[in-house]
Amino acid sequence: MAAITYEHATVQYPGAERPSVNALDLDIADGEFLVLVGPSGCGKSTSLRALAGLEAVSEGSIRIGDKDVTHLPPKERDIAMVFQNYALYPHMTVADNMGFALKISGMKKDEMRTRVEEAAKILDLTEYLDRKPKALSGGQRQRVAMGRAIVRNPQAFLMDEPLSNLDAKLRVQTRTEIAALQRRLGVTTVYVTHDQVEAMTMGDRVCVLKDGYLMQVDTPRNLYDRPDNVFVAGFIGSPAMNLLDVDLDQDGARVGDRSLPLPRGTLSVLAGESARTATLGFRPEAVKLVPEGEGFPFEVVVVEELGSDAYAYGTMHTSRSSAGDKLLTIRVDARNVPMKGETVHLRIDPNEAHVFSSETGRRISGDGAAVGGGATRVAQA
Amino acid sequence: MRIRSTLTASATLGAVAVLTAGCLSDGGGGGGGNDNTSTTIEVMYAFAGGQEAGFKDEVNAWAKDNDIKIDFVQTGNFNQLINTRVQGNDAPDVALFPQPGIMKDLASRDLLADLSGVVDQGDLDKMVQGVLETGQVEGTQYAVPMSINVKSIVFYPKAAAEAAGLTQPPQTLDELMALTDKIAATGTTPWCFGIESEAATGWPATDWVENLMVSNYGADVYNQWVNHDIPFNDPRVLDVLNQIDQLLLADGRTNGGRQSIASNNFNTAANPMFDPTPGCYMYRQGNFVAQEGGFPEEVRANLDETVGVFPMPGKTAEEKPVLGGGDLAGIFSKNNKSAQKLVQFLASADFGAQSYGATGNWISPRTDFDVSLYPNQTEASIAKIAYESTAFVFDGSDQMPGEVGSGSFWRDMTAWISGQEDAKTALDNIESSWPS
Amino acid sequence: MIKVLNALIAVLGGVAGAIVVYYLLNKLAELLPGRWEDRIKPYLYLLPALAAIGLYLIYPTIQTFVYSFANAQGTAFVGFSNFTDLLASKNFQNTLFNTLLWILVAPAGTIVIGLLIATLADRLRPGGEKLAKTLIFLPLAIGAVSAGAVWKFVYATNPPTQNQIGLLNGIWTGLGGDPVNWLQISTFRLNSFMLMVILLWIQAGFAMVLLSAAIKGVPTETLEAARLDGAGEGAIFFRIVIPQIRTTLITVFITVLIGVLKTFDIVYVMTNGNFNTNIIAVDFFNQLFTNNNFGYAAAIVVMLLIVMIPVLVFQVRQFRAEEAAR
Repeated sequence: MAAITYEHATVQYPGAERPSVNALDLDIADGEFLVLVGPSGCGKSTSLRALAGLEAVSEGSIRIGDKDVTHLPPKERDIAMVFQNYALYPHMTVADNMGFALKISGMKKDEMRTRVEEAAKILDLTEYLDRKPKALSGGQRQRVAMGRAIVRNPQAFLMDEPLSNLDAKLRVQTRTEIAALQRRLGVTTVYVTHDQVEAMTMGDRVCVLKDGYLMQVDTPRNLYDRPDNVFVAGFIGSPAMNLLDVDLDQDGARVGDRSLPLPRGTLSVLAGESARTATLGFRPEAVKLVPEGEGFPFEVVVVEELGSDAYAYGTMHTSRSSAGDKLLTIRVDARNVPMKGETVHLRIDPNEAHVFSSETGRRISGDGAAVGGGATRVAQA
Repeated sequence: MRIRSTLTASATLGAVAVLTAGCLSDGGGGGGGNDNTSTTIEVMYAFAGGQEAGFKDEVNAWAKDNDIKIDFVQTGNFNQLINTRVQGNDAPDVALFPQPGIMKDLASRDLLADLSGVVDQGDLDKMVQGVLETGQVEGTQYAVPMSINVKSIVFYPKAAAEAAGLTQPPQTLDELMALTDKIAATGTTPWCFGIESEAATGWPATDWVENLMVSNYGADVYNQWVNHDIPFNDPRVLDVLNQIDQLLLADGRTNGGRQSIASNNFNTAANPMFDPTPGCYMYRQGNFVAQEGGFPEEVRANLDETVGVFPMPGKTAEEKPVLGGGDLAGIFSKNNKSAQKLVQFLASADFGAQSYGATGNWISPRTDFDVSLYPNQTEASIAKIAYESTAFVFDGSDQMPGEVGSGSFWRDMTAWISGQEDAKTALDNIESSWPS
Repeated sequence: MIKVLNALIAVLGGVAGAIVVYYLLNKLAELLPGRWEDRIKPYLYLLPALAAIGLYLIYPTIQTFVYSFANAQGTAFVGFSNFTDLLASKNFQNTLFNTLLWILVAPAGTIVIGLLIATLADRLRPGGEKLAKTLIFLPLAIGAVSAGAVWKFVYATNPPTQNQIGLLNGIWTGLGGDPVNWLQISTFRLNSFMLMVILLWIQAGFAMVLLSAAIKGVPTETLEAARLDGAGEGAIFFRIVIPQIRTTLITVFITVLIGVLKTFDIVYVMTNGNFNTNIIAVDFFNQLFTNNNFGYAAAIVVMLLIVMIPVLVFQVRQFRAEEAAR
């Protein structure tokens, strides 16, 4: 087990216009479960494969523990990988699949058998050891792929979307199991997924990538509460954060004919940048319905009832809005939902309002304390 | 279930086998001749290329004058086709047999017309001695020769060979041996020899054996040997092989040495004769090697000046046996006047005089044929070798059963020459392959 | 012109005849009571094809069996003597030994060469791969006889005084050797192996195309997984790639094996079985067409058939297993 460090690691495919991974700096602590997440083409899989040694690093370096592995072949990196399609050897039994790496390393047969059986026990595969992968269900195959990684007892686990071939229900169940297993074994794990829910539920920390650039790496809580930029704000959280382009006035942001007061620190930073507009973000749960005249009018277009919650989709007029306003999402009381076409009035909790620079997309905030502007939390719905 | 179906299958197979078991061939009997009496007649033959073209021209001109229409049927696979057609009651009117064997077989089954009354026996005396007899079965003439080829010819490069000591053609086998030794003594190789001929590799070696058989022991012993009246591995044959060994296979006797013979093509084996410094000086081969496809173009263009010929000598200077071959004309449609007329023409001295002789692709079997009609001196000399022969024997391998004549004889000679078998083993193998 | 007309009439007549036959068979079936019509009809429709197979395949096979127990002309039965004569003859023993060598060496050799080329071509750039594969596939298109003609120029030998037009002798004499009659060297059956090279040259392209497709079909991830599992390139090839293309390997092997058992043209064209290179198919041809010995020829075919049956059974089984696995 070891820590993993990416130092300015760049991967550029021959003939490609821009690097798939661009100067990635990332420290992964020993025993940490780190999730790489991002939309397709963001470079998350490439980063993982570079770590595995399956892609060449064109600049920078990668270290596992104290060892610089940048130019080492995969077999000398002592890592195990779980592939999206599991990559089981179809001609081998489950036991042989799991034992292959041990066999290659020249381990004695009895010891190998013991290790494989232990792993099989952990993964509940004991009765399938003599089967070929073809005779297994999707979930079982996934567990064999895990087993193949576990028996190796490697420095790190690399997992490349290992759940994407499972059905929704099994996926939820398995992700808990994997997370639990990783906690139990304490092996440093780098996990790639495009699913931000998976990322948030599994990772000790989550690293968000976009177009080969690292956008933010932090704990799931912090990513949710304090997204560094518009991209992370919009990517993390389901339903996604509402993002509005707004004009600024002295007190805050203009939304329709009213103004949302913003913390002083934020305003002063904006004033310092002599910005006249900003991107305002608020999560669906950061609003409260208020009587007419007190809040911002919100025209309900669609209502989705999920049982415990209900979400209303609709539009809000800002000073910058034009025809075809984008749909915003708010969470409403499941027992008391607005009608379609109804206009309700919202109060946005200023402490949960996120402000981003229109120009750079960066979060505007002096320091951590400035975000809430010292105000108490009001919107305890 | 499996056992049952297997049983059923074998039972069915057994039943079918029993039903068909009687279905052996009846031995090629049946069939018949030809009762065509019209003036349109079909002629079947094996020769091709220039030989065929010249033949058609000559015959067509004659047929036109005689109001006969002739259908020409050429086949490369004469022996098989003629058998098939006879069996199918579809024999041609006239057949020009390339070998006497099958002709004799058909004649003895009474399928060919007796030509005694058709051609003038007296006139046939002018045929090359021995050729006429090949068309007879028990004294009755069933086919007459209409062309011959000569294999007992030794070609040599005139100027170079004379310089090397070939001033006088050898008159006896001993002189031939002496000449060979003389040329070899100067450090050059006397003989060109190649027996490669694709799938027929080996036949030029059989010609050598046959030629020396008739040269050493005469036509009678030769024919006995060919007809298997004496065994193939008779000691006399072994002597012939040893003679070949001395003449051709010993070190320094053949261009390229013994090992090159089996891979050297017979058509081009003589080409080193015409190199500025000849690779060899003598090449025994049939007259066809002087035709297209044989000697190099520039040699043939200037044949008379470049190439000399002398006959393979006999045991003594008086004996002049010649090994060769020819096509024999026989009639299937026994009562067809046109067919009879055609055969009369083919056997006459007129045949070939108009154009065929001048093509250089044909030699008349008649000794009274005007040799000045041949296109060059070389061909006239070759014809004269045949005409002046004391005995003319047909190629033996052509007359032997297929297993031997185009099977083991070729094969074991090749194996012997390339050193895979010794002479005795080769002869014993051939003898044992002779069908009983 | 007449010939074209004849061909046209034959084609039209054949098609019309087939239509009439099927029409009549159909009418015949319709005469039967309802249930029987449906039961009998498929068989009636199969009848002409079955009859043709029976006439052109099954009947000749049985006749061959029958003739193998008859004399050279096929006029009288001689018991097992064709078989005993052949098996006792030194030449035929040699022929069998050569055939065995072909069976042992040629299919395996084709697989090895095909695999090698497929693996190497796989690592070329796409353009180079296409070119290499086309070139290697080309011999398959030219046929065995033409291949023989080409290889004659490789093995050709002229007397030492002449220029060597043969490639091999050209190189050999260029290196200072004396010209060698390659196809006459029967020591260690070297000449038979040289003939096998020609078959390899022809078949390698076929093997390469199938194996290359199979290799490309091996999931890249399993290779990467093996690489991460610590396997070297050799271990990956033999333990991961080969097992995954096993069925293709067997298919290629059996196809080439059957081809080898039937191989005739190469040997016929190159040596006609001389210099101790004879194999069973050439011997059969010569027995039948040179020697006119129907008995020996049939006996040889029967022996060939006996050798082939297990191979065919295995092939059919393999094919079924593959179908079942699908």
